[in-house]
Amino acid sequence: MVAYWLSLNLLSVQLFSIGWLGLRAWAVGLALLVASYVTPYLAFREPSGWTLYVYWLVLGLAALTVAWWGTRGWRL
Amino acid sequence: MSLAAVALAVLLLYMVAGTILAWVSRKRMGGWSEREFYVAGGRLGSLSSALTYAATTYSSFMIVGLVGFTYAWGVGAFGFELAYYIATVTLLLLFSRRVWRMARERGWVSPGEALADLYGGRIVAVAASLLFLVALIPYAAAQLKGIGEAFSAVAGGGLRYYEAGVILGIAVMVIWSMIAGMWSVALTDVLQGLWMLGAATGLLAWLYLTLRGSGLGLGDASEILDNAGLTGLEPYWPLARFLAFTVPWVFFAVTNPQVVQRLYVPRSEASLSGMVRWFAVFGLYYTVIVTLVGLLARAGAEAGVLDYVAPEDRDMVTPTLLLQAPPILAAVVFTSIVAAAVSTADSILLALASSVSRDLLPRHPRRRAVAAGAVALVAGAMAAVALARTGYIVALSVLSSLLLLPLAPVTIAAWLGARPGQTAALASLAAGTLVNAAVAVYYGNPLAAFAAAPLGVPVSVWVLAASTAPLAIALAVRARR
Repeated sequence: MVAYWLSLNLLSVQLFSIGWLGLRAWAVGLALLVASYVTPYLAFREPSGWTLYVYWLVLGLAALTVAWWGTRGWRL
Repeated sequence: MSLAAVALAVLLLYMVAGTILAWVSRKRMGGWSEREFYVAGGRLGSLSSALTYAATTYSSFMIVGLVGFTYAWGVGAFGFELAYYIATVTLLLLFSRRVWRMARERGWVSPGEALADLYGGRIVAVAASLLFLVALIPYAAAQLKGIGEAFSAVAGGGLRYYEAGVILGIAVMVIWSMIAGMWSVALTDVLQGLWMLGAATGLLAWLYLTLRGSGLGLGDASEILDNAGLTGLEPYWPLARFLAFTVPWVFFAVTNPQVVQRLYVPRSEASLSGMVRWFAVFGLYYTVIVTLVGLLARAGAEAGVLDYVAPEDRDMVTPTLLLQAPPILAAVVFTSIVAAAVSTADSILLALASSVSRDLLPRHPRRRAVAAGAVALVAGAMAAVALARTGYIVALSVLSSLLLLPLAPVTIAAWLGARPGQTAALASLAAGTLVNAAVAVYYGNPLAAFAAAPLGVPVSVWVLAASTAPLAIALAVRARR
């Protein structure tokens, strides 16, 4: 559970930072792609209920948000 | 009414609706030209662009293959598909606007043409076209094979019904492609994309209600899946396997011509951004629904609520679910499998035909006849491979993403405006293809090659490294000068 909440917090910090720093949408997408590989192999190797599913789902929703905002003027 | 009768009635309804839509789309075709026929003159709106992109991308692999993967190997299958999704969104954000602009300015129709233009010579386009043909005819044939098998299963089995299904599939593909090219394919993709979403949603709702009716909630399902070891990455998804599956797929949006060609079709920058946004909505929703179907099906089977399918027979999970679902839902989902297969295969047919007619036979004076001939030629090859009903088609279709992987560095370098030169591009394609061929020969069959990890590194990573090296060397040498 600690790893799960840590990941979610890291993700929200990442998304807020993006909003403030005004990074390019594709760079955010790339960060999300890296997060989709790294955190699961660090924290979710063992069975964890729906946690890993929810973690990836949150990343997917973040990517959807980036796609939605990123194509409005093509930068966040 | 039997399942076969309901399924055939719903299938007929889908075919009639699709054919009417294809016919209606002719009115929007602005005269005959290859640009109109293959890329709708670059005049599609947001929603039709998004749905044709999504329906082309998501084949019958999703509702049959991914459901089975999730059932057999657990949550990691969701991660694999999600890595593809995030990568595709990222690649679209990075390249789609640039490629769309260049396609309009330079009049690109086939993906090979873009390479010829950016590398300054046709030879790269010819090499890429040959690679498309080798990799994608078996992949499209596997879609037809899927229709044939589904048709045969619903109609009660037998080679006769399999062949009838394949012939029906090829007929639908050719008719919907020939009526108005990309116009008819895109408009029928709107119907097919929405059908795929509706059917998958209905299947999940029925599954959830069935489990609930047996006193099995999401918490119980999670516990059952935990006990089966399906909610973590081990033992089914060691990193090497996850990389083997994801590396070819994260470049799908760059390497597959039928998908790349869809970047040429939106009518404006606003339509293009709408296409990316709505594709993102479709992709995430469909991935979540399909993987939940797989997970809940496994939980229900483990609990004895649903019929158990052995994990090694994972492609039978969806057909087994259909036999337990209400006939009308089963018929709608069955038709969605056909829709997913047709929407992918007819787009591949059109993309390969554009490659043949624009890249392999570009100087022939009778362009319209060449286009018709190219469609017939490619469709005939697909039908012949599908009618052979050999098992290796499935293996080759799994391998198709790996076979196309050498195109990723060449295409990305061109789109970024790097100029490594034609020789380096050809060396890149040759190096990646040679690694693929060598591994396939060494391991004896394509599936084993796909999953292999020489020196602990998946083959897909070796292919990517081998095809990147010549370009990197050429760019470094050029920079020194």
